[in-house]
Amino acid sequence: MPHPDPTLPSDLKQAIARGLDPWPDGLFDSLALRLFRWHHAAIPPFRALCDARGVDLEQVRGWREIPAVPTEAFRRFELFAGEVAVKEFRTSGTSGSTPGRALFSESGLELMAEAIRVNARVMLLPDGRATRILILAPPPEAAPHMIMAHGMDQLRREFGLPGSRFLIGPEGLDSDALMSELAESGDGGAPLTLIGASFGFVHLFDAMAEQGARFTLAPGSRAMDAGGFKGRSREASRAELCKAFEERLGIGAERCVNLLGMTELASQLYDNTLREGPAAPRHKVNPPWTRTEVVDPLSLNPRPVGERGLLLHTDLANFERPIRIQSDDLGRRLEAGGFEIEGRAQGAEARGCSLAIDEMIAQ
Amino acid sequence: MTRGWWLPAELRNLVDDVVPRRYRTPEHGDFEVEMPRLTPVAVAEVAARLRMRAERVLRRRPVKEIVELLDRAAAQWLDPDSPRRAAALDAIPRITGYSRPMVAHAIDLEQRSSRAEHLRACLRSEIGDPALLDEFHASPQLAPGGMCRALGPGLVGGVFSANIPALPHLTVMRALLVKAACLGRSSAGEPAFLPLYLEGLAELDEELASALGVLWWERDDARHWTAFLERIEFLVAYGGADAERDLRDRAPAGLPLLYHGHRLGLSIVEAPRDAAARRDLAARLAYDATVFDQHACLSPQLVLALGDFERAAELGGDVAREMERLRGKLPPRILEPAAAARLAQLRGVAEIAEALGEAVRLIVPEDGGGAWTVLVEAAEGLPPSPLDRFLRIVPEASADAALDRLRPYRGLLQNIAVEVASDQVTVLQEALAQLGASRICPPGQMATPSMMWHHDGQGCVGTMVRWCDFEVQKP
Repeated sequence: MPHPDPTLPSDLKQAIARGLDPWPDGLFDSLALRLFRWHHAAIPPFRALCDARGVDLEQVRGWREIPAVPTEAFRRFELFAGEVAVKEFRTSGTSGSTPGRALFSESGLELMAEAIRVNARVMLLPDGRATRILILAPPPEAAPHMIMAHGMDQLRREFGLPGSRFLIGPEGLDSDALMSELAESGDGGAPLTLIGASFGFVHLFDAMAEQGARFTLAPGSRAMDAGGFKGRSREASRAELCKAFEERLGIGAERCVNLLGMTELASQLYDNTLREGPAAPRHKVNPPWTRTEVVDPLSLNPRPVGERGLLLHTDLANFERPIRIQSDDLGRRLEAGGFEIEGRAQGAEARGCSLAIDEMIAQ
Repeated sequence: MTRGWWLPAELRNLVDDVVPRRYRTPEHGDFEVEMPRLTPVAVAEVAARLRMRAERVLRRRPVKEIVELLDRAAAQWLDPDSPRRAAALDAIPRITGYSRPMVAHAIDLEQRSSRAEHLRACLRSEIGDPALLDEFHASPQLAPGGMCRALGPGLVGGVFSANIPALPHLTVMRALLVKAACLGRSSAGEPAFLPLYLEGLAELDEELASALGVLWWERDDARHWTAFLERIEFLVAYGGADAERDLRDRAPAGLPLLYHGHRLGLSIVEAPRDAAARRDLAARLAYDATVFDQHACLSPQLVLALGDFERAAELGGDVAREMERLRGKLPPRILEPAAAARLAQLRGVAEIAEALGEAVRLIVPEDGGGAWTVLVEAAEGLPPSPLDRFLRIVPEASADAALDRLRPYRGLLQNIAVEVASDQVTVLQEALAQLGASRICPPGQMATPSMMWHHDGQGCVGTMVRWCDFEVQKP
């Protein structure tokens, strides 16, 4: 089994630990190429992709020349360069379909933990304020293969005040506990950091609207939602969600961040708003160990600023997995820097009267 | 501005207002269509008045005249100099993204099968003697002296989909043939064709067209749906599973309903050993997957190719060449980024599998674009096609193995193209019928069913009529 060069894990960890300030020239390329060489030797399906695209190991000089692996490939192939996987995360999928698998060794998990830590410190907790972290997602014990639960648990352990916890149990959302936490915070208690799946918040606010519940959480409270809004336009839902945070919990839009995370990426991408304040237009921020390009879906050539294309991520924290990931998310690069997501590619099900077989089986 | 609605002149004042609806396609950019705004009460009023026209006008006109009118309309649509055809060829590509030649081809296919001879054949097949729609006539099925009469409903409601350009007129024709008025609710995805069609009918025969109309309201305008569904007497609807659920929930109990939902098409072939014969088959397979950019329920999602992988791959190479040739004649739509992203995922996985030495052959256009894709690979079940000319060719050991594969999809099959050794054909035709297929045809004809086809297994005209028998003596 081919090994990475021995100092690669520690070099990566050190680089990520530098924080979110821009990296010196050449650092990203050199780390990317060291990962690439290892992955080329150790991941046969990735090597096959390189062969199919005519990419010669010796000729690659920059990170952009490394072929991107489509997320769909994680469903069909084992894409893991490590020796012993201690952890497996899985993508959610329609019923009956094979989930995509992302495998991690101990050192892979460690590197991901560093990426989560460094990123959250700047993007979620830039004021350094201690908050109670309440999580609207199932805990890792209940969802051992959900990468989002794993990451949120780390935030809870490393940054949360005592009492920080998961609020989704086997019976669903523990809304009594949540309501009393919200009331307590509003009543001079600790500031809260509410984190969870975007859809979970939608349901919460629906329930609160029904009861006419409203709180003004302690100053310093904030919210982070991850994921998207299935079947609805992202923009409309995003605006509605921000409005609900403001109206129901007194958390202003500038204190709400959306997080783009994927099972196939070890790093996550936050909105800029908590870090940069209300004046800056909302967009996603790449920490310096990642890059996101907006490309033409088929040629993979970069799209001009402002035009819609496919999001192609490069993540150096993907220690044992291919670092260039071709997603099926669409988005556009913004004039002011950063990018924003604009909807997920849909399968055939939305179109035509030809039958999407997935849908048929699900019926 | 192109209109997304049409009513007879005397009913137009029931529409309060019109608003532009915006469309954007990668090829043509922005385009606007005028959509109607009207109250649920006005929808009910339109329905009631169209129904009244059926009583007053349609019932008095012999079915022969109706056939003649529809035939003249078809002839006009087929006339290359028709201004209405030109208007449709301008608007529909801007709305749907279909290429102009593809829309022209769709109009030709649909209208060529809408001529008098097809309409008469359809009536003979489903009603027997078309004159029974006019008055009582002797019936050979009854005892001597016995007579029969066939009566259509007063008002047929049509709910349309957008996947095939120039198709919704079919429901209007069928309603008129049984002397029913027809009120359509167009699809926001392609609202332009039917108003042009009705306008054309009105020009040819204002009186007959006065029983026809097409409107549009939002999918969640519950009160509009109620007003519509409560006044129609027969519903013909096209659409997906969600739309079907909504409609069935909203429809009053007892409203007869013909729902054409999602169905699955495919081909089962045995590639000939002879190269020229194989190329001929490939050309027909490619054509079936090209027409309507594969969006029709009739379109094949995959080909089951009897024989081993190499034989399927050989056929795949020929199909790919034909896809490229057809691309020149019937250009595909330019893919939306979301569709292109999905395609890129599937191609990327196939590329890896092929490079790993798996039995996979991915063939794409030389420019790497999304015009078409042929993917030869062994697969379990019926892997979905993302459509837009993405054809999987799956090697299959035998006709029996093909049937085993299809068994779990019983009831969801529709159109299956078959070209295998003649002793296998008989076995397949019976088994496929048992599995719920409603049309078996040779490759190359999937997109062109006749008016006689029992769409989804039903006589679409016959099912709309009720019968009255007149007996004079015991049978």
